[in-house]
Amino acid sequence: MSPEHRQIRESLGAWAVGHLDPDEKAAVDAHLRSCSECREEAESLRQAGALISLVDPAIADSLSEPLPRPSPELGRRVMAEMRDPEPAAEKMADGRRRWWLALPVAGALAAAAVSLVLVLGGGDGEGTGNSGQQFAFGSLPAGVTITGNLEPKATGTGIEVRVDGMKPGTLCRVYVKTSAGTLEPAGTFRYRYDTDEHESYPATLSTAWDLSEIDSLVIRAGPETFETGL
Amino acid sequence: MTMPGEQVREAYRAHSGELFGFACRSLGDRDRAEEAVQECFLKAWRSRASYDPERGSERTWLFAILRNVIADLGRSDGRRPAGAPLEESADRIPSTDQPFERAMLAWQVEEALRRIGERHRQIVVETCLRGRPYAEVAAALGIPEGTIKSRVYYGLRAMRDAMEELGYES
Repeated sequence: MSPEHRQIRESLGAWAVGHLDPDEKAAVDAHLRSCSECREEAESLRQAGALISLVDPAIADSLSEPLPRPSPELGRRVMAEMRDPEPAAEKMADGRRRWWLALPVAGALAAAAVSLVLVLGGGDGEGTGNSGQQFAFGSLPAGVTITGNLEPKATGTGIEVRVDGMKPGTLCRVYVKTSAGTLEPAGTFRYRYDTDEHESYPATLSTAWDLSEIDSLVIRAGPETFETGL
Repeated sequence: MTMPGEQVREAYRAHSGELFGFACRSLGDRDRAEEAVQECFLKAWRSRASYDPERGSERTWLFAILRNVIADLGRSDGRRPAGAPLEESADRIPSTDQPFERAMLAWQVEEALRRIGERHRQIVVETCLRGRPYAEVAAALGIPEGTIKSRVYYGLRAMRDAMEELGYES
């Protein structure tokens, strides 16, 4: 590459984004008419330069900063989901459970005195958890159920929560209150149902705390908070 | 055509940060962004048998799934993040003629700019994004104006190459 060619080449960026003065632009234009290699390069740079206009200048400073990172807890939850050869929600697709009652009762939930009844061992034979401690919230409005299962894991405790009869789309945040007195987030889920199958889906969450260290569960459903000791 | 389970797990390690960043930008809330990423990978896990690498990279596939998850979250909240279309197919490769696709492409450009060297990014940002004159930037940085011009060239080249690495096809 001759020095002149190199000089023209290094002007192609400024040419591509329209930053050359008229004389410089004329020189580059003349070169491009006779150099297919530079013409191709200039076109690809022009397209790249055009994409920059999509970026909001207000976030320019953040481009040098590290991206926000998801919590390690999210990674554990996702990996737990993907360890299961048959995702929990798919297990519900066999039609055994017909939970959907179409009751928009988020408001009623707020007024309900909720207590958590732990059923140690056993099971109803149709839940997705086969071991650990099953639980069910009591004193809920008719048609509403909150049930689940706590299962010891090598990495902590798996928490499966099943909600039914709540307003669809309600965001639920689950926390565990530990014996150390701390409130630890265990994940969020949104109450969903399959409108075709009329089935609700369980949420599979996890916490790094051992089951023996968990004193109570806290569920925030929309603006309401429910807590009960174990 | 399928994606082995281990590849989905590896995809989480490779792309969850970027997906989470985009979800944060779209939803404006860390908890909801984590919810979206979790749902995204659950859907990816369920539909991994339908993944077709000839239709796009795994990154593109995951972003297409995330787009639908965020649209669903917006729908359940009664609003649509960035004008998200409501597609039924989880693995449809996005076009760029919708506001949400534009937002995703913008995110891709941002990611490409993050990947190029600081010296080049600084010059590209100051001149191409902020529109500052070369002479002004050169004076502020104490370097010749010709250096600004050459860094614009090498910066745009690096950004173009990064876009290609991210699966962008012009």
